[in-house]
Amino acid sequence: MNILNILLSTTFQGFIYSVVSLGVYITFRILNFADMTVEGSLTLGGSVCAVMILNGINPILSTIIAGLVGSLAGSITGFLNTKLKIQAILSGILTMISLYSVNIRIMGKANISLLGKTTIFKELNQNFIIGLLICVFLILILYLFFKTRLGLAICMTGDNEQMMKSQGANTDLKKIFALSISNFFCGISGALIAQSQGYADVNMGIGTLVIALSSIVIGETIFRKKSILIDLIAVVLGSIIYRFIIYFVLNLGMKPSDLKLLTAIIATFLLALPNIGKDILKGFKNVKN
Amino acid sequence: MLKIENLHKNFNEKVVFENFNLNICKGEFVTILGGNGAGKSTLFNLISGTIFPDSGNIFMYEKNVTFLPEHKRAKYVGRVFQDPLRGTSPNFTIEENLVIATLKNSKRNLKFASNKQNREHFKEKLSQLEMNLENRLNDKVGLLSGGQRQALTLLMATICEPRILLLDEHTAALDTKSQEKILILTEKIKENPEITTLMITHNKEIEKRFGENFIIIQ
Ligand SMILES: Nc1ncnc2c1ncn2[C@@H]1O[C@H](COP(=O)(O)OP(=O)(O)O)[C@@H](O)[C@H]1O
Ligand SMILES: [Mg+2]
Repeated sequence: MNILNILLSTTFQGFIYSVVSLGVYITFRILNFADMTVEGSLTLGGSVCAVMILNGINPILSTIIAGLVGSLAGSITGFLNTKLKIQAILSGILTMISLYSVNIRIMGKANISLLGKTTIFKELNQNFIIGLLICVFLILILYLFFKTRLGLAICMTGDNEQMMKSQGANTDLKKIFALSISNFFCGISGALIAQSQGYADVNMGIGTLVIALSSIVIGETIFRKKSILIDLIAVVLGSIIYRFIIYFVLNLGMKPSDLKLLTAIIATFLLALPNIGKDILKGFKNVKN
Repeated sequence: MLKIENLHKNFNEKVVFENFNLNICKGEFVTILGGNGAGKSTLFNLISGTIFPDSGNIFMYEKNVTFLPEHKRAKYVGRVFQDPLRGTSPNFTIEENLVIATLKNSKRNLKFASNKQNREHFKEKLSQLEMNLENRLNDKVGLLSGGQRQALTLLMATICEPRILLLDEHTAALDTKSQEKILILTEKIKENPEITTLMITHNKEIEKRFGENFIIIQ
């Protein structure tokens, strides 16, 4: 592989994984909801899309349907949390665990191959463009959405739920809606990943939450929070940077199975950075005084 | 306008309201007094639908709202809490906070949240607060002082003219200067014959200044 190919293919990986990061950004950052559904809904998207393509259905349509079933999974988590009053994190875990069985049912086995089937991806240059277009499109849609009344109400529900209630908002519905949008993105991402790697696997979602969070913090570390548009772009760039880090680490001779540990370490470091930074600054001030 | 009949409310074993009745006319300004833990805030929670009574009825203009959920009742009820942080959204701008407050009576749909017409209206309303906030529409609310945030909360609670305004020790957490500003704004609201106001206070001065109608809860 020449350098250009490496750049293109790594960036392309960043694009398709950034879709799930955008989804996670909606729940963790905007809604302040630690949603664990992600890992299940990503796999759900992948399985549904793969099965549909194997049945001769148009890959674009299959990808969109994968997003829609993802959003259904998200709204189930929302229902568990808001209507049945189950803790956010537990609601997500319950849906995620159920989806494991559901995904095997959908595929009929633990993994299915898309070898020789037409997907939305073909050769590298084209894939790169498609990935880029998908990201630009999704960022624009999200940006516009958050400028609307409904979008603003969702953001503010995440910021001060009590206030939104006093302002007459049905905050339960807002949360369910935000979770379903978030998991729509996860479903889409799963479909894209399955198509790019040529198979869907019941374990393909494991670890995606931490990967997505790492991408988000990488983006935030580089681009200080300014506006929602910058934030969204930062998420995608963070996801691309993450892929480059992984590429280099693998080249240094690390085993692919070490990646989850490495990702967790990167995420821990970046998440702790702002706090540690503050403490160090405080320490300096104390010394001065 | 507000009628409460035979209200009962217990928390576990603790009886907070037993056969409580209340009748308030439109446009009245009522001061609510009572010791700590007497149930004043609980009364506000019952009126605004944050919690529901064990039995009894609450009417607003003949409409029985006893079990109407909080978000459906909110268009009739404006509320300001003691804590200035509770009534505004810190990571959003003054304009965005006001937009949300004006949408109390309309749908939060896919129309764009902000528009020019709104902005002029907000500037005019903000200038009445006399805090120079009219030139800071794009500042995050988290940057404002406690007094400014409470003034903004008061504006947000009244911008859609609620039928009933609930003020829960809304100046207790402020310094004397901001307190005075908020009280002046409260007096303006008192003049509005459309808004019925219930105000909880512990402060003797405020009590004298506003009190014609008292309710004492024990
Ligand atoms: N959600 C609740 N759960 C249990 N007890 C409550 C709750 N809200 C209030 N109480 C109790 O009811 C009593 C009245 O509280 P409150 O209305 O806040 O008093 P105050 O008059 O000081 O505003 C207190 O004893 C309080 O502990
Ligand atoms: Mg109280």
